[in-house]
Amino acid sequence: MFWKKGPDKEISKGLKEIYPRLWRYAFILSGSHDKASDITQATSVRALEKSHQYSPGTDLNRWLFRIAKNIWLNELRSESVRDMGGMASIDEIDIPDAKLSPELGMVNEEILLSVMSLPEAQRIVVGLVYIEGYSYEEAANILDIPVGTIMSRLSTARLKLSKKLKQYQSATV
Amino acid sequence: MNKQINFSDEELTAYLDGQFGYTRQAEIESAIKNDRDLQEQIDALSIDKDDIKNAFDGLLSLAPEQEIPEPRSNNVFQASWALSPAIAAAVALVFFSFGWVVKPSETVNSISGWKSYAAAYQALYINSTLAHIDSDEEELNKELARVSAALGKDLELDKLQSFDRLDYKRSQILGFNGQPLIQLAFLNTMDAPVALCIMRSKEDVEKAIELAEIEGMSSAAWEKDGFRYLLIGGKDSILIEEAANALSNVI
Repeated sequence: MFWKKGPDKEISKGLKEIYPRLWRYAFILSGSHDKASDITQATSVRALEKSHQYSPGTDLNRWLFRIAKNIWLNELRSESVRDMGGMASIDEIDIPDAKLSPELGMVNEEILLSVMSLPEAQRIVVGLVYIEGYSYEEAANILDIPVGTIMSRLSTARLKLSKKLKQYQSATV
Repeated sequence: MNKQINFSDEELTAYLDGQFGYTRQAEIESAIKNDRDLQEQIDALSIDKDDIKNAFDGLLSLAPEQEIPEPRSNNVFQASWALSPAIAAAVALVFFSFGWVVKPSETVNSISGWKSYAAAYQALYINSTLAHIDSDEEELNKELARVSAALGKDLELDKLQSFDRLDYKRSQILGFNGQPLIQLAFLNTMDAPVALCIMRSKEDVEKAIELAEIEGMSSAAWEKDGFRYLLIGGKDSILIEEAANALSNVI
């Protein structure tokens, strides 16, 4: 076909639909409200800038998650590490205030803290597979790592989460 | 008695996740009935994925509302040149024949590159993007020292706070074509946030303030002492002009 419809409109429409999920993923990456907003905004702008690299009809969401991950790891993360003198400790993770969002509740807050206290590499994979619902192969594609690494990170994350959440449950019974 | 098979945590994780292409599903299901060690190994890996997903679904409602910029180009006229080099060459010949030699970027957008991208970024800002920022003077100065170093020009807090109708909130280092693009963000509760974007200029030229509308926002651009400036945001062109006059005198 000589004239074809460009991908900008598909990307713009897709961004509107996925924006909350993209922001949530950015929060999982960064552990911070503000950084999550920065990553999501930068991802939106970058996606439109690089629209010529997107093939219409392919998996737009996966492409956007990939951009968000690259922006965080290659651009904003180092700035964040400098600002905080290292990666965020569990005390610094900006978990949403339950008073502001009562739907989160105590149990959910414990789950959020448990996941967010995982090492970054494990947390990102948990975010993609258990929260976003991507398959191992899709997550490996987004993160540019082998499927074996996805499996290894998930099994380590599972051991930690299982232990922590069982301890919490037995303490609250 | 059957010989026990050892399964790795990775393989059991794939089994629990239903990713059966990466695990020996039948062997695990057969062994699990009688192998207490395997049952314990699986128990140690067990989590409630629905609980995790539900907890994080609670975050979706907390995502800030954002406006996605509209595509900047009219894609109806986007040609698949790579697929049709002969046709592209023929069209180019017609353009040259009639003297219509136009840079491709100008056919898409007449705004120069960096301003266009800065505007697209600014179009995402709403007042709640900045309203929660409550940095003290020390934090603001620390942030400005960092962006000043990246830009190669000292930016002083009192000068950014000198125009009283814009409330200076924060500075960020962005990038355009490998060069730092500094964004100084101001809250304007009467309209929409405003940003002063600064890039180093390749030529040391002076250009007076020029007003324009970009991406539906008022803007003022000028060049001075080897730096290019773009003040942009909201629809109040009078405010933008007055702020540009004030800031260009002190920065």
